[in-house]
Amino acid sequence: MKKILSFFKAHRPSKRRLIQLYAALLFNANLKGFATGRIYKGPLKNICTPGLNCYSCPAASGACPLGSLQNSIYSSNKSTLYYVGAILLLYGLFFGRWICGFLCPFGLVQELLHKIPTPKLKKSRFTRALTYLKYVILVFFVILIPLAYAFRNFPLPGFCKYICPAGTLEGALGLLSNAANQSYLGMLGPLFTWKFLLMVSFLVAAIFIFRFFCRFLCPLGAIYGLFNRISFVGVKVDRKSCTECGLCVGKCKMDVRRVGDTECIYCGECISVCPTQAISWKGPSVLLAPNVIDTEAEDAALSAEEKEMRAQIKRKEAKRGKIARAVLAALLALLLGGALVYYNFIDNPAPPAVGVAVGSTCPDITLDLVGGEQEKFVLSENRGKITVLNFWYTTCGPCVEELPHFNKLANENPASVSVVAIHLDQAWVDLPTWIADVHPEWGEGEMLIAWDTDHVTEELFGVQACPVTVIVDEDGVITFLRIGSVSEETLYAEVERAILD
Amino acid sequence: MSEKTARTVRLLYGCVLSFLLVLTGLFLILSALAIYYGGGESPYTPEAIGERFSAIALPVSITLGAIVGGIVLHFVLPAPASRPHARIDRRALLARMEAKKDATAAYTDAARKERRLRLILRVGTGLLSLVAAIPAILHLSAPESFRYPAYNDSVIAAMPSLLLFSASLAILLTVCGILCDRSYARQMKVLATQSARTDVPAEKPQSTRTAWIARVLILAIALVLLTVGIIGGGMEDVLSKAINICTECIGLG
Repeated sequence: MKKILSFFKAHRPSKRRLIQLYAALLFNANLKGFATGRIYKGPLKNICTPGLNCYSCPAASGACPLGSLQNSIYSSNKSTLYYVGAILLLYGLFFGRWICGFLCPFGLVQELLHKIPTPKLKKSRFTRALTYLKYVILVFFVILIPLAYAFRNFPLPGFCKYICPAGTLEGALGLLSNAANQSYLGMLGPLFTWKFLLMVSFLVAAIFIFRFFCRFLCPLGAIYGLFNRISFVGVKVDRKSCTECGLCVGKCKMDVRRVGDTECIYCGECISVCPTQAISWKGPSVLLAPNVIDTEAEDAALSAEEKEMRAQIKRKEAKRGKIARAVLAALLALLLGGALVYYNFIDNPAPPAVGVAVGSTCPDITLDLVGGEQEKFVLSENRGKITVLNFWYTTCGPCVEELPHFNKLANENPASVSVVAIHLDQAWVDLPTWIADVHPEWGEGEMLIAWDTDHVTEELFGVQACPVTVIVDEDGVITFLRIGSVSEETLYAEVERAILD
Repeated sequence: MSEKTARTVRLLYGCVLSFLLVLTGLFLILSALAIYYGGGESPYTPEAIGERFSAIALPVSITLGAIVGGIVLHFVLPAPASRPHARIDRRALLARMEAKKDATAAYTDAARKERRLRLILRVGTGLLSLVAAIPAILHLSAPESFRYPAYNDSVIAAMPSLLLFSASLAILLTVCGILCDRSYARQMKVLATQSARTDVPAEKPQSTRTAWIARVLILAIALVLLTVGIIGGGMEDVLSKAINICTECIGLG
């Protein structure tokens, strides 16, 4: 019994672990998302979380900063880049890589995996050299590739699409594990296979190599690391007391050269090993517990009265610090409690009663059209023709890639087929200007472009992932429903089948 | 149980567990590949997934059992001694030695020679890295590399040059690090033969003014950008992306 108790005492979570768990729960407060299989779609998702947390995770309560950065590079609204850039600057300035050490959910996953007792790969010159790889990924996949494709009017989040394991783990597996999302299985193909392969490799590597992804591959860590020297929160070294013994670097599992450099995640593990107590936390002094400093030699030089005054001041400071920390803890607990209540009970719209399926009658819809002579599209007025509905939006790469097939279909069969490309409701998008600038041929052809101002996509069709293609026959019955990209061959084959049936 | 025996048991257990974990990872990857190459436009059906992953349920269970076994071992074996994760950085040691050693003529020549060597190594590494980056830069700047709409193929086509650059960078930095480390060791050997200086200069106080100027500047820029971004609708744009499932980002598109 004693041994069991001592096991739990020795392995009780540290303060840092508790903060990591707190942050993981706060940034994934929409827990009902796992039960319903739907992501949070409320207004609070315009705030970027500081750590790597995919916004397609069913529980995600905020936006991912990396995904938002790549999206802002493509976006025609340049203010987005200013907004996301400002957020990254503020996070970096205030916290630096303290975010990696305390707030990043994916960092927590890697640290927990690293606890599995296998032989571990120790750091070396080679691992130090490998840390520069994350800057290569930042430059090429986060900035250059999205930028290169933005000049070609094509949305491509390079890092998210080809590398990010958090998206696969939290988003894909989180959504696919729910029975309500079985239709998404049809979208899995070579990209998912590649990303699953990468995710498994990274997670297995994290068991043997401490924070494998953070050290070598995470572009967000690369960005935050640049602010480490000037961040308000973190770890500092008193150079006067430091004897350069190197014990701190020896204790550290990251590839630091010195405490507080770009590789330091400010976990604070080095503070306890410093023999001269030269390392301490930096931050608001009222919130920090003071280092225990041996002042016996100094005290010996003081009189009894001075000693008593000094002790009184220390007691007052300690009491003030305790109160401040208690107030902060209470506020944080309130924040987490409030977030859990808000996301799971208050901002909790009922999932739409999705009645559309192959073989059912397509509900009648009326949509505003963009450009062209017609002002509105009414499905019921289209009886007698095959209607192809495609749900898309401008920052969806697969959507923009496949729409030319639909445009071609519309232009080749204007008498028998109506093609309507329904853009999801996104208030900021100036769709007519976007189409005129990027794809003028769509506005001039037979394909109708509609604007989903009444949210029919959500309410009637239950669309939460694009693209979605629905083919309705002359009698208004749905003959084809696909969530995900549709190849040109499949599209033509299904339209032909609808005509023949 | 002696410390040596405990270490041996721990090592054996670690090796077995490592083998099982790597095997489990391989099984997961091979199962996904088998499903994908199983054919069809949509190979990931519930039946295919169920069939493939239930086939590896036994090895996965054994691995999980082995992990749990580690907890049992923890009770049986004495706690291992904590060991450092890296040796001391020679550059830091050298800086400390230089501050405390007397600067004789021989020392200055030797130090100058080693510093010149390290500068050449670093500049050379930088130039060679740039050379290694040329194929990637040429590829990404050529319009032919971005054949629309086959953008997936375009990114995959860029991989060889990117991998070449990354691998070259890793090798160059490692070699540079090894050679610089040896240079530090040589310089330290020379320093060790010199006599200690009596006039150790006072430690230069860390300049905080530069840091504060940088903080204030960055804060000001961030606040201006944030204001412009919010007024210009940047928040709505981020929201519009975040409330729709990014199928590409999670591998579904």
